[in-house]
Amino acid sequence: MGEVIVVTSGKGGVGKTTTTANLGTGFAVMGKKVVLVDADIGLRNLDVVMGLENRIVYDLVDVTEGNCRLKQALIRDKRYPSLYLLPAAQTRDKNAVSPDQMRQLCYELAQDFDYVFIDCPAGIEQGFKNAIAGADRAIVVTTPEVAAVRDADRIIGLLEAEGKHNPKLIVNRIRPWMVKRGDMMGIDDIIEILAVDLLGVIPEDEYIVISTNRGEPAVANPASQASTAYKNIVKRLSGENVAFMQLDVNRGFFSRIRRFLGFREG
Amino acid sequence: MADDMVFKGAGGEFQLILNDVTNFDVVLEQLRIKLPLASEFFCCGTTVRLPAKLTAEQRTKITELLAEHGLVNADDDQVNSQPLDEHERHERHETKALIVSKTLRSGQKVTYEGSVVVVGDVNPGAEVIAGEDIIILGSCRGVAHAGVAGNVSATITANKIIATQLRIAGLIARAPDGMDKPAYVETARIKDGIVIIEPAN
Repeated sequence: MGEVIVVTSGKGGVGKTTTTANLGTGFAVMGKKVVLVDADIGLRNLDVVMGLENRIVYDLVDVTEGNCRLKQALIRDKRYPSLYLLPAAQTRDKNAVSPDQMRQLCYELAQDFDYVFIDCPAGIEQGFKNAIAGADRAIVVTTPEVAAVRDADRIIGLLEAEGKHNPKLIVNRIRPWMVKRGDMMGIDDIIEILAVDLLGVIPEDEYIVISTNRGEPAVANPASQASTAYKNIVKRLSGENVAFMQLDVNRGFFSRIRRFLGFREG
Repeated sequence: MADDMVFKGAGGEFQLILNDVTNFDVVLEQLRIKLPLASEFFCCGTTVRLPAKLTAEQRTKITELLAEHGLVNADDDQVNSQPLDEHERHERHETKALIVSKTLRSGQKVTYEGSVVVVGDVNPGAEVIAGEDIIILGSCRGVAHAGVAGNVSATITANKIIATQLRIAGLIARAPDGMDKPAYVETARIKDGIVIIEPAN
């Protein structure tokens, strides 16, 4: 019996889909059997980020309505043999599925897979309720912005009300040099408000934009800082004790020379 | 005509002096015109002492009018803040406190007719509304409204008051921008018609 993990945030655009894609791929690279479920019915993105858009035949709503068997709707990622995607329906909306149906679906998937990742839509309405219904645990993604942290706080409250206690936090898109200047919320400020366990910190990384546009999760590229951060989170989720990345700002002359010569820090 | 009616400040409250109360309707009409003009001058919650020569009915009418502008009849105020005897005080505190043993997160709201004690933080976007005092054993970053039914002696106490808004009875206060918060426990209360924050004792 596998574990069902929902990736949620409240606010849109903070990196739920990117996080789902990268964590799922990270586990698949480790040889775990993983399925990614896109619960954002009507606004599906996960298939695009995974580069699997052109292989969709059946979707999540087809499964819940009985138009196809669950196995038929699962798309296997050819690059990672143990990675599957259950895409969302694009022509329907969030009300096409009920929390009970999602609970049943997650239960069935957890029989066959080690990890079931659910990409939650933004908002706190039906789509959110569906996405969290079948989850064993939750990962809350936020960015170091007041609005995103406020929404994450609301989401943590709603998760607790649904009996999903102790969600883990990922802080995405942090810019260490801005934190140092005092222009951006630091990790400590965020943790002080949200009071939950920190699972990882993803630094701002241009490669994320490139990789999502190409449909290749960044975690596969060892040269990207965000990729290292995602890999660390995968290790932490599987029980390893990994130290947090040092995101110190090192913009000195020698550091720049080293960077120029191709040495990477962190 | 305007001189028939004078507001005189005395010891943190105002005294309404009426020279002529024979035509009460005229007096009332004049007050109706004068009060909105003076609203910047009078703080919300200011107490006004009415002349003794008014009848009970006239008092009620003026009190209502004052209340519309956030002013309090001093006589009424005294009735409200009459000290309770020891037994009553004890009973009140024993029966009317709600204890919330968790952090209130954005979107969560606690409403209670008595006092509310929060063992945890009140985060931005959360609301605590109490008929009496609010005590927060944590940081107050959201909205706290004590004495919601008009109890001006209600207080808000928290380890850290960084609230978006503090409301006591009919008064609303906003935390000053960019002020360093002290490390001691603070209490907000109404003093001389404004909300002040001071070290808790």
